[in-house]
Amino acid sequence: AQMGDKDEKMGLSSPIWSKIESLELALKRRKIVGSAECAVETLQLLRHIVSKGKFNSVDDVIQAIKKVGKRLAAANRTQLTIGNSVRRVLHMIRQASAEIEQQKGTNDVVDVDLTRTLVKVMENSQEEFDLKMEVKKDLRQMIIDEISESVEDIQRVYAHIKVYSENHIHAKDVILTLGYSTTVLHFLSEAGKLEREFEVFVAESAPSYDGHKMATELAKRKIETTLITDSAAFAMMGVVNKVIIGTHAVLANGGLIARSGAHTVAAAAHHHKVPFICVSGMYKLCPLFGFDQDTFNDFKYPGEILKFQEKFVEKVNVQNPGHDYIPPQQVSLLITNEGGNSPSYIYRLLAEYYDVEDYDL
Amino acid sequence: MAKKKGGGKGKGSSKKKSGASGEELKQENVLQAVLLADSFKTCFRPLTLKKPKVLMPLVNVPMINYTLEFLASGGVKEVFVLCCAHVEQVRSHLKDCSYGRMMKIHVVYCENSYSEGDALRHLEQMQVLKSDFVLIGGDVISNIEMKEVLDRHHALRKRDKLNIMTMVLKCAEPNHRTRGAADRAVVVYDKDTEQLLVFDNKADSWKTEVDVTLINEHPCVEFRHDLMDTHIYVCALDILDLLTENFDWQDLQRDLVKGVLDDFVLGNKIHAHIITGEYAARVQDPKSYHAISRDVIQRWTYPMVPEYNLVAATSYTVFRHNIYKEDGVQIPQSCTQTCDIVVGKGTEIGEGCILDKCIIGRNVKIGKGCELRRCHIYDDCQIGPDARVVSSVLGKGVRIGTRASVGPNCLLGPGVKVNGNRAVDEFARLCVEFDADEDDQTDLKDRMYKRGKEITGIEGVCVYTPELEDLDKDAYETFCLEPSGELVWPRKDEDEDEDEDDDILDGKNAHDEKGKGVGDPEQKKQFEKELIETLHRGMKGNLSVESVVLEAGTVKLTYHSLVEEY
Repeated sequence: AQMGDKDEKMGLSSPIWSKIESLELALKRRKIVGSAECAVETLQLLRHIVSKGKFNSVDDVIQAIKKVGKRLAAANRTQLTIGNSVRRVLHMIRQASAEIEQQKGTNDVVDVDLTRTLVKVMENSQEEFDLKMEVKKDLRQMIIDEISESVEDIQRVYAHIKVYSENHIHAKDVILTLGYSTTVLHFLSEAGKLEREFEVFVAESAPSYDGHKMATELAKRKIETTLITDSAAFAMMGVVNKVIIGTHAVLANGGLIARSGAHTVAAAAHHHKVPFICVSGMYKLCPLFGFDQDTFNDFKYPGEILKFQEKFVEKVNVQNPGHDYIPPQQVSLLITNEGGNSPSYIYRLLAEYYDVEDYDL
Repeated sequence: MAKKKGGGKGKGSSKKKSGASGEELKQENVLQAVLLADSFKTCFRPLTLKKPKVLMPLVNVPMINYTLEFLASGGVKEVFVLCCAHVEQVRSHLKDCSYGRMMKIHVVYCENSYSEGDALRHLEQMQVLKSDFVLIGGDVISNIEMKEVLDRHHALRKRDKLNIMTMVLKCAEPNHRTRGAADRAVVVYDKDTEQLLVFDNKADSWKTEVDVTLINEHPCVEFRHDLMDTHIYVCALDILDLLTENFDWQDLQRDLVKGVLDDFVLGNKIHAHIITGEYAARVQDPKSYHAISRDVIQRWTYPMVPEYNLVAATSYTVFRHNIYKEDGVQIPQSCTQTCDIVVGKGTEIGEGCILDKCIIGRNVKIGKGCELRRCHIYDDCQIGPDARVVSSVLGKGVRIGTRASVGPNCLLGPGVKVNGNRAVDEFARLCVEFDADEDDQTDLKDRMYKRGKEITGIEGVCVYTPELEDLDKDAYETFCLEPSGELVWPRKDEDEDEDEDDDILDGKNAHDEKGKGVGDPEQKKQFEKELIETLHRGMKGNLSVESVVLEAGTVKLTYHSLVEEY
């Protein structure tokens, strides 16, 4: 893409554009992977743009962030946290502008709620703010502070989630989990510290087999662990009390984009009427909808399953999908760093974090 | 981004200069690469008559983009692109592409170069390379971590100044589809140090010779037939010096590698870096071109897959069964799609088509009821209703008429038109403009134009035959998209004289070395028959026992049987 025009540059200087391009390349080349990393990198870049860019009005800021955000999200379409971070920043900009406007003349800190509710429509009391308003230093500072707070939230997500574990894991529980997830690991180890006797079955999760790593980590924390194959999940479901897994993303309808193999476990749990709990940070919550297995899926490297050097490779077609879509009916509870919610309530949480105008970047 | 460490390996190029003159200049070695943008081969004619091979599209993206992406993500900062034919097209392509912003790209026109060796000698005269560099072909597709290879090379160089080159070799069984049609390399290396001892890729010999002194020096030697040369070499500057000294070294594999390995006096060493999980391959001929396209579509080159839009400004999304479609492309429901299909932007596909493992470029119009199997169709083509294209490459702007069929293994150059109801048979290579340089080729040219008109029904289409290049008839048949046979070793009959000498000397185990299993029982019968006839003659003619024995001895020598046999 050529960056010749003044319009295209949108008040952003060349050093900023080169930072944007290098992040875009790193995302495309899959040098930066992992939901939390991608989100943090995106937030940091957007914070840099807000603090250093030359903007005439709030509208300019919003348009610039939207344009940059669209490019970054397109660089890695299956990493939904990038788009989430962009939408969060846009929401923060609007929120901050409305607050600053309300504060004009007064020294009080005003809490502005920009969410659209039926009550507000009826009473005609929807708060608006002027898009053409100037971008002053205090507005920038407010936005920068909020972005920094978001980054800290993401970096401390494990500490926030694990406090909920004592409500959900009780003595004599038999828990099933799938593969390696740092969130689940912290969640379970916190319960382990409370000296409650519970047992964990870990499904090994082919073809990456990182269930092995999870089992060793849990065993190190003195939790009774059993490693099982993926195919044994249905058979073991009869003795399991609850299933706890981590996820790649949470969709607006409450469905999950989890690792490959999670849908099998969810279906087995649904059949046995076993509660299916998902733990994840709020930054993974995405305002998009998806209803089939392919919309947000990434087909990975076939070498994980079949070796290239063998001659019959030309006769075999290898599909190695990275993710599974789990419909909301199979999910019982979603535990985030702000507490537990049922999947049908997710759409309300969206309103706190994202604005409707940004759903389509 | 891997930055090379200084480490006293030749002169460094100063990247940063501090302001004040009294301060020391900070020296940083920039990683440089040499890209051979001309393979000096003719297997892709007539597609490469007017266009350089490195700009030919592989899955709708010029091949050189993949190599540049590989170099850029490996941390190379300066690239010297050596071109001979069609240098202007390469220059303008590199000016437009986005890699110019990530690395410094210099295009070097190597005049009067007829081989890779000549081009490198031309570069050496320019004295632009400062230290160890990456030497790579312009048609290499790879996703390996360059840092690993570079670290290994530097460690080896530190240990011994004679380690001048590290070759990257990929594991692929013999007859693997990604290997070139003529690739039958036998690699002999030291198992402990991975130092290369012999690299033999001769097409006409079924023997590889290993000097016994090598085995004495390297107690653990491994012979492998499943290694493919990826044409990614990390070289020291000594390589260029060797090339300048030996000015008859043409080809890299046959002359340079062999020359270095055979020379015990200088004692230079080459090491092999063997990769199994990662991917690296070079497009050597149409067979590997077809195979590597399939590899990219089947995602063996992850993350250089089409839908990441990494190597060019494309807009692909991927669907199940490796179907890639750019923005706005619609394939009607009535079409049968199997798998491994790529369709570029602006293409219109008619109803009821059969798409099977094909790669379709941009702005192609495909009529209804067409059958496209395992073919590559470049931009702006038009394929009439009910046409059939199988295992062929259609260059840019080709027009295929209604109900025409383009047979397996054809290469149609840009702009070729085929009338309706015609059948282009197997192995045909058609082109539109061919200028014969020499006068004695004019009547050959006229014949080929006539034949072209017979096949396609259009005036001005010429059949491109191997005779125009002074090649064998079956040279082009082996270099086709899907060769039918497997790699054939030259038969032992051709080397019979050599064999006989050895057998006479040993006198035993001749059968073991033959391996000519099918011929043996027949030979035995013939031998017995002649022996019996000799005895009969002897008895009839009342010859002495000694003379009969002598005759029988000559019969034995003719059929070199075991002594015990009679």
